[in-house]
Amino acid sequence: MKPTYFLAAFLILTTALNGQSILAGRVLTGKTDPAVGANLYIKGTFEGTSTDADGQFHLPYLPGDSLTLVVSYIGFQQLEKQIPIGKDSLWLEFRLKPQASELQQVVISAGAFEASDEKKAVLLKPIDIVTTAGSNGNIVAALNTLPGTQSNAEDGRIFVRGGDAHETQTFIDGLRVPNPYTSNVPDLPVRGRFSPFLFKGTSFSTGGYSAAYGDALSSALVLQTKDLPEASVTSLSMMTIGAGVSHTERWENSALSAGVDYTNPGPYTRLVPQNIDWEDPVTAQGAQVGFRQKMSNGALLKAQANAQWSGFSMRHPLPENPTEQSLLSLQNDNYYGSATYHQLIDEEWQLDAGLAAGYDSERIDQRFSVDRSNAMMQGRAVAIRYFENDWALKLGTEWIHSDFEEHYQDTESDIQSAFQEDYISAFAETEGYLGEKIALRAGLRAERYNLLDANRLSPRLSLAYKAGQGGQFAFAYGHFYQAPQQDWLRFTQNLSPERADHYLVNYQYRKGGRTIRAELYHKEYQNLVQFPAGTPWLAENSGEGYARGLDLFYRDRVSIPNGDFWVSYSYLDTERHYEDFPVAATPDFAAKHNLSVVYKHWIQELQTNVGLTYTLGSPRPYDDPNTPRFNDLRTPTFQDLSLNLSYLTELFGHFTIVHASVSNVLGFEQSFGERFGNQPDPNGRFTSTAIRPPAPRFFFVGVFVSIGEGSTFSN
Amino acid sequence: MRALIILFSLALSISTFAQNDRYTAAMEKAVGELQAAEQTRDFSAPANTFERITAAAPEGEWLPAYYQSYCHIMQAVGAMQQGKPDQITAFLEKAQGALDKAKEISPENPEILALQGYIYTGHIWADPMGNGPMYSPQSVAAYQTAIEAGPDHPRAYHLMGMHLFYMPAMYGGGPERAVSYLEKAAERFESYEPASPMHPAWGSYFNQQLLEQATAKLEKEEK
Repeated sequence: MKPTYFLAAFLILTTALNGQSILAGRVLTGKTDPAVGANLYIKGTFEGTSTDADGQFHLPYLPGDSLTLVVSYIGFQQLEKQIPIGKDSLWLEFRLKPQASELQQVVISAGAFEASDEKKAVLLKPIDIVTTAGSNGNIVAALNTLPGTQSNAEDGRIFVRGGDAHETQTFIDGLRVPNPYTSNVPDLPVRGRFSPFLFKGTSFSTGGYSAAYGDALSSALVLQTKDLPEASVTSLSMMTIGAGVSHTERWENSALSAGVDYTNPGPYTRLVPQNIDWEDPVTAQGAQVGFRQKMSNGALLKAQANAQWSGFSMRHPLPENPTEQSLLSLQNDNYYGSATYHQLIDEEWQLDAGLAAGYDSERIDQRFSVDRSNAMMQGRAVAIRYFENDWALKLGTEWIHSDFEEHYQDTESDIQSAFQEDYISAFAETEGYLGEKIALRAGLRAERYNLLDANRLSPRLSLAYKAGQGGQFAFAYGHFYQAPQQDWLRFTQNLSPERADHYLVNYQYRKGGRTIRAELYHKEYQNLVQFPAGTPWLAENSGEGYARGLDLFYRDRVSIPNGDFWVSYSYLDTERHYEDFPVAATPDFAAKHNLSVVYKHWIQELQTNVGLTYTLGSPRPYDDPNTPRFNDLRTPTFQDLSLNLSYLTELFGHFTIVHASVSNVLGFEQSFGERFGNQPDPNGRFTSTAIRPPAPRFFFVGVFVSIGEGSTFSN
Repeated sequence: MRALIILFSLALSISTFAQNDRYTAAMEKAVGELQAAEQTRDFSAPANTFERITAAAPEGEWLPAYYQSYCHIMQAVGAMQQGKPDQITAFLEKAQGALDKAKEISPENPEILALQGYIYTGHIWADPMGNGPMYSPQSVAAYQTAIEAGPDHPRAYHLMGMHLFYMPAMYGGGPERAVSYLEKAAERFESYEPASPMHPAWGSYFNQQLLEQATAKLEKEEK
């Protein structure tokens, strides 16, 4: 070996070492803000530096080969830049783009309110629903604090943007639930049948929703049940109005749960003043079973079944005869079961399939009797294809069969009615991004209403455009069809689906725990059921109407330490000329102004969560048949302030929540107008009964104990 | 020709040696920066340094990604102390990215599994009421997996103790449950020998502090 080789090598090496050049420059976020502490390094080496307080950096380097400089900074997209050979020193300036994190990404937002643990860009978490004062474990009551809903406290169901309650359909794991509410007679408020603790995600759409859901004119409430529970747990609940027990057993890849509950407010109603003269207050028994299995191929099978038996009787005057109390009773049996299968087949395909069956029977007696039953079966399958460029295509089909029977009897008549309905649909929908700023969802839904012999095609479109940091505009449009209510179908099936067209514009801005959201909408109804008063068998699809308004929402989790609040306001202008309305008029469930303020405060020292919910509904119209003008009376303004306290503690070493709540704390006078009889009295006058809440105030105390290692927050 | 071959193989071995040497040197410098940061509580410098090393680390080295993740978690702790929940989440996401790399290199590593639990615990700081229900069981499960994977490593016990100490008693936390883990951690901090001066050795000081606080609380409760 000749020493010259070594010499040459040594020379090259030392020259390189001495011939260091300097890369210098600045890293900015946006136009002028310096990126402080950003990381700069030469790719493939350990050499690098960090920017100083002005975003500036100096990096000595060897001007040998060309090199790649990497700029990395938290919350921003990583940048790489080729540095050419042969330059001694360079001044470089980098402008970083914010990372397309979930929180900053443009999302389809028009019409939708989502609560989820898994997604970040949501306005609510499932726990927010559970802890809303006044909801008492009723999902529906919590959703009624969101904009776009109209408070109808005497009814209890969800009324969305001038739509009647039946215009909202409820879906659990994609499958439609035929009877989402408990059974009741008019003017006695109902509750949601399902406990909010069952769900990991809630998406409440007040308009312009996805083509994956149909047969709903106004709104889709989409609930997703929890997957495998974290651990085995036994839950006990003891309440002023009942008790319950449930157990969940968790194995490696599966879980089984079972529970029973019993509600009997009898003792409570004797203690606390009631507006209703109960004979037997609402008693209910419920039983639930649930099963989860994670398959070896990663698929998840979920199955559950619920049974509820409830009934009550009370002394209640008929509107035709307000001075005489007559006994009114109701008995309801409800069964619902479903099974769903979810599988990610590979990186491209996902499959979701489900089956459900339900049966509901109801008997009402009050000088007349109604026996009503509804049986339902359905199947649904959805395949999703994911593409590399963040686009997804959803293809799905469903079939829902329902069987309706009713038997009405009084001293004069005996009417039986029955019909079967088959609803078959297929949809295709694509969702993705057009560049960084635009998100698009476009779908088409084809529906077959077999009973009505009608086929319908509805386009749905949703767009969102990112406007600056945290802000975005959104737009949605769609056609929505729904079969007429069973109330009318039992008289005549010579009808067509009703139709609503939605137009929504929305602006949303969120920054560091604060969200503000405004949505303008217009909804056009056509083909609504209409008939001359008293003759529903002559019904036609000649009715029409509109609803338009503004919904505002503000949520703030940061301004008040340990406090969290949201304010919802809805302005609604709506008229309809439908059913037996003699003229176009605002229906009795629509209030012009609705306001909700929900406040929650966590008191660390007391381990107590305090919640307050204030609700205001402006007067609603109702009709007095004794006056010539239609819907000319107004209910008083409705106000309520509900308070709840949840104290978290331990009982015999087990996680325990003591929950207490009271409605109408301030004792507002609450009443909802009058209900008039169908027939005039001998003097030719229509008499009425006042509609009031079941009690001036509702008190609730409950103790909930979780036994087991996975006791945290499960219930 | 022979000379050329010798020269070539020599150059190659020098370059491999040099690369390893450079890696070791970079790691030593970075661990030094980390030790300094443990005093100043400003982890941005070692976070950047470890990020560079992670990007160019020789195959099979999990430590740079592990330390990068650790530094980002410490940055999240800083964000929590300054009351910046959005930053907590951003740092933890970056910490998760780095830890995922470390996991790929060394899947059943008790130190990495323990750090996974730490990230889950961190998410609770950003929004205790909202994130607690989901992340608390996940972090407890992660610490348990870490303990099973390496029963003589101290840090999973330490972090579990810390998690339980700050978790209210009715959720299954509290000083009493914390103490049993903190004590086990203290024993292991005494006996456990890191594989090299570069292997994780943090946590013993804070563990001692927590143990004292938890014991003091327990004594107070007894009175």
